[in-house]
Amino acid sequence: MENDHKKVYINNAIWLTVLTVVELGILGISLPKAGQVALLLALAATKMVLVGMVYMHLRYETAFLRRVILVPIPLALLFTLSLMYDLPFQWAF
Amino acid sequence: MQQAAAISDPFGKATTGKLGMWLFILMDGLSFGGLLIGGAALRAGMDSWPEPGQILNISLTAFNTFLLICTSFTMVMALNSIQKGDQKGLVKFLTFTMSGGIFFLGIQIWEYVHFIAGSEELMHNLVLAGLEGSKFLPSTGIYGAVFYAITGFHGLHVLSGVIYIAAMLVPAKQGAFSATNYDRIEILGLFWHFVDLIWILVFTVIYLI
Repeated sequence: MENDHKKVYINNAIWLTVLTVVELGILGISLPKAGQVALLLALAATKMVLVGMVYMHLRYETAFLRRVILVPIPLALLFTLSLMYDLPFQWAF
Repeated sequence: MQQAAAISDPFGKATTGKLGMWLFILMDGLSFGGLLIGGAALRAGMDSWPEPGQILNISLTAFNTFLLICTSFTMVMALNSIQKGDQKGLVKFLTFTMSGGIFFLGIQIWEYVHFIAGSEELMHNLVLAGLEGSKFLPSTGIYGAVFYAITGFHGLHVLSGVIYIAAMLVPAKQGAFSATNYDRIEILGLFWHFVDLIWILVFTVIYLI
């Protein structure tokens, strides 16, 4: 981590900006809502990975630390799906 | 012949302070996850939901997103500077990051004031979106509650980050950090980048979807 990574950091900032512009562009395209949501979430996930790996230096950490940090993400997805499954029942009372 | 057993640390060279911040980030991330998942569940139970840009100002918030990306860059450059022993660079980039954070908060407050003060145009947009009133408040339906809860919680994180940077600027100006002593700056950076990372998701879920 002691090396100069200035170029990598600049490139990362450019990619993050470009992906944000692409997100805004997607809003202007007539797509089915589900496709638009999937694309926007995929772009957001890509941007989050870029911030985590490059700016938070996760790519320089051990594989174990990366795993510890990434484990809650599938759990959050599982909770989301469980909650969505439960939704049709919540207004029945 | 005795031979020392090699111990491989699963966390590598990460200090306890850094691991502590990662632990905090994990817990805080789950708090945001709870809010976002809750918001999504409430939205899924609604018959109608405002379209992107119908009430919220996407252009202004996109600029705020760009601003936060810039502050992530300046924060990582602050760490890069001190890793090379550049004290002035550290102070300069920390100041840029703090200023960016304050600017971000200023825009968010301006957005809130605009919504809370209300206007004819806002009332028209609220009616089109199926909401009532001339002001957009936390009590303006589930949409208002979700918007203010999530953006407000994130805004408090930005405010905490600004205060945290200000607290680190004092020792930085006194020359407390060096090319071999920059752990606290790296930990500060982790928190700030986390705030940026969460905003990426908040911007997409609240403003664009």
